[in-house]
Amino acid sequence: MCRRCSPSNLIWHSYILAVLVFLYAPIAVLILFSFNESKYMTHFTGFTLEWYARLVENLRILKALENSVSIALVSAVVSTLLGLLAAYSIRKAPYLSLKLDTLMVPPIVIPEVAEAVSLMMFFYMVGAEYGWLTVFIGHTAFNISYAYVTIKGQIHSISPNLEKIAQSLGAGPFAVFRRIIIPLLTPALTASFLVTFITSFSDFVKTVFTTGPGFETLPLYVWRVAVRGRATPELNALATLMILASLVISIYYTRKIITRLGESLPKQV
Amino acid sequence: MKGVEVRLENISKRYGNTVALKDVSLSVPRGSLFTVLGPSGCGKSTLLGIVAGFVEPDKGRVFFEGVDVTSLPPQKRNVGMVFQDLALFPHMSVFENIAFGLRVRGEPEQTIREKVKRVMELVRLDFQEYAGRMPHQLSGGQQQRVALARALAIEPRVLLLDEPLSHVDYSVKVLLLEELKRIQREAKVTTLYVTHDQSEAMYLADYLAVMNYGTLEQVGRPEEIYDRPVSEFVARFFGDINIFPGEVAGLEASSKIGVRLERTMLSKKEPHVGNGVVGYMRGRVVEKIFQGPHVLLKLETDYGSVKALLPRSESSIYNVGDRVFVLVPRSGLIVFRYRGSGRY
Amino acid sequence: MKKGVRAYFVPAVVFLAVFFYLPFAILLLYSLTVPEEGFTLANYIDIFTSRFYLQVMGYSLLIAVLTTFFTLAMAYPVAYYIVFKAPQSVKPVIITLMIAPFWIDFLLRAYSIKVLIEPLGMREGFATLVYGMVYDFFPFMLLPLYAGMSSVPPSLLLSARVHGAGGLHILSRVLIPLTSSSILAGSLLVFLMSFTEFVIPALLGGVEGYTIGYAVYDLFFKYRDIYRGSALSIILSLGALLGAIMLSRRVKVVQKMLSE
Repeated sequence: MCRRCSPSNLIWHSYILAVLVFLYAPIAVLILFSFNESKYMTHFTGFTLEWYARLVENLRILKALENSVSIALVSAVVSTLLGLLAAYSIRKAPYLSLKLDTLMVPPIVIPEVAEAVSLMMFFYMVGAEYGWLTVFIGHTAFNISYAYVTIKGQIHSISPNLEKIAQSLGAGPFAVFRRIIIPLLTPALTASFLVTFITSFSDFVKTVFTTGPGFETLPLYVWRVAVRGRATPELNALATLMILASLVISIYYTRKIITRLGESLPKQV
Repeated sequence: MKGVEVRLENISKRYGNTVALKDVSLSVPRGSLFTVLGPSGCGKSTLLGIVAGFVEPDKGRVFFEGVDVTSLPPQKRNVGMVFQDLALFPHMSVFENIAFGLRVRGEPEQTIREKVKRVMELVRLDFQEYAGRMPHQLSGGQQQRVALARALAIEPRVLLLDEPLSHVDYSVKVLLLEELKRIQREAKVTTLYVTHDQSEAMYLADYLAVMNYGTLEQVGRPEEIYDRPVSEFVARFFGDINIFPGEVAGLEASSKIGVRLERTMLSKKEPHVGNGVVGYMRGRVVEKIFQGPHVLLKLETDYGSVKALLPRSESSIYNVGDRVFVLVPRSGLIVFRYRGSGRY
Repeated sequence: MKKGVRAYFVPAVVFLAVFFYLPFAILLLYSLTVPEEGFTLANYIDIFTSRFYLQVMGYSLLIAVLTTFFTLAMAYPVAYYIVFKAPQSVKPVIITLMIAPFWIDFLLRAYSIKVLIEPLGMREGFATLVYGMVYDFFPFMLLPLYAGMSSVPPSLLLSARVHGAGGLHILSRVLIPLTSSSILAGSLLVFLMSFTEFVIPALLGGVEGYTIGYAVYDLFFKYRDIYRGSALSIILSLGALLGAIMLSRRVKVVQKMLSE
């Protein structure tokens, strides 16, 4: 009997297909129009790479890209590092778990817009110059919490006996951390780094409140162009490149982390 | 490899209101295999933690070969450990697991390789075949060997084993116990083996301590403890035993007597007291269980249930339902006098 | 406290204390202030008695409820399919494709809908706005549902089937109770995010795109009323915090029920 072509499976497969179309149709259209000769997005008149060429010459975009990448990179490193240390302290002192959670989780829960305005006022009061640093701090205040929660979730699954054995074999605290804890946390550290990077890279709300005149990130550029005018082919070209980069990250992330999650969980039951 | 003498002096440890160890003193001779036997929660793992250095005692001192190590951190004690869950490093190959202690000591690559090879030989794991494997590619028995090899590779002064065989199937367990005994003898390392399984303890131990509620109830050689247990708890925990009120043997009612199952005798005729028999009771056979060379008979008597272990040849005359006499022989008699505080 | 522990969590805690808690205290202070009047609850009273803000809040609530409902209805079968139905060979591909949009810039995804508007002959407004919200928040619903569904032992579903339970019965009595904590988590996440979201509405909603998040933005940038802006921000934050606390209680209760 053909299991895959039973009526119920047919419904399933068409449903999944429909969801995929829902998810990818807008992206596909966007990519298509990035190659469109005509400036107007009603008809596809012919293939061109002109918009990509213009993109590379657009200094404003390049500068925004540089800002976005540098902030996202530093924020991901700093927040993953601080989150890791905080999560590790709970391993050393489990009684801190609840107290530390209470302190670390609210930034994830509070609406971003509220966090953003509070930071804007704070920076105003201390007389900070709005720009790279203020935007970076805004992103990182959220990212630390995210990193902490992600890493803490996995640090629990490392048996304390591994550390004890390593210690009995002569490893001091630093050697235990470097040779046992860090390698076993690799999936969580990867997840934390990638998610905090992308969160920072694509953040708009925090950025808009904490940026200063003349300092622009990619989402700010996209916003300004997309809201004022209409969609432009040049913006489509930029979006296409960013989407491709995102897909690469996504495939890497899914391979490394998500499928492991799906495979490892049912076995434990 | 040479083991050291391990001595504990008046060790006490509390966790909040729970007393884990109460004034425990213990001496483990150099190179011997010492087993600590007790039910879960009796404090035996805490004891091991204190020897390893993970747990700081509230009171008391720990000596290795006469040197006080009480405040020495675990990484400086040179102690090999194997836990119940083995705790093999999942991200390292067999070779790297075993080499771990040597690497953190900064030994040269060539020495590490030789030592890993030697210790794998000792635990009978083929170097060529297994050195490159990951822990999850090994069977349970092989994982045990790796864990042991890793502990032995650092040439420890003391080897600590915390219920290492409790997750292993019976057939594998017998094999590993034999191996463990051989390896321990060959390595001549002082070993502290903690378990709740009396058969493991009996099989392995040169010396044995029975532990309950944070105290050592009795310490001695296995035969001593089996034949002359100091308390009802020790007698029950270390082998099976029939316990009767003292009046059966003509003692005061406040004491109890015990007879090991294999010393419990049966008779179809009413016996005479004296002549090696200190007392008897009437009973009825309710169950007959075949156990290979022996047969276990369960009986109901005026003084409650009794079990008797007879050689097969002697058991054939007793059948379920038979009325018999249960004899208490002088030679197997164990007397427990009431010690106050509700304990025997 | 064990020595050395402090050094590990102090950097993170100090960072949040200075750049999260302190700014929030300032926000709270402003929300309780009216110039030349001193401390007062007037800003809060103003918001709660203003027809305008109540209407915008109601409108944003409607958008959030619809977004949560549609993403849940769409993502739940997908999570089920990935975990229990998908053929092993295509499983990784499907997972990757379903989760990939999560990695694409939030704003770009909303923008891609905007690009669709013209060729499809749609117009900016409420429907397009909700469509864009569902499109953008779908991965945030799918991820927790997928994680929750993965921890449901397949043997449980099988045994329910063996005992003669029908499809609907298994769904309502076995699957939904077992995944209820991830349903709650995903729903709360999407609800909170969509309630205060204002980028998507602004981009796709046209004149119908004015939401409560936008109102905060306007209070600060257009009307320069930081006092009322602060009060509105505090109201939204407390609401979110309350929701999260209720959720975590609920999740604990459910977990307890399951373990018994």
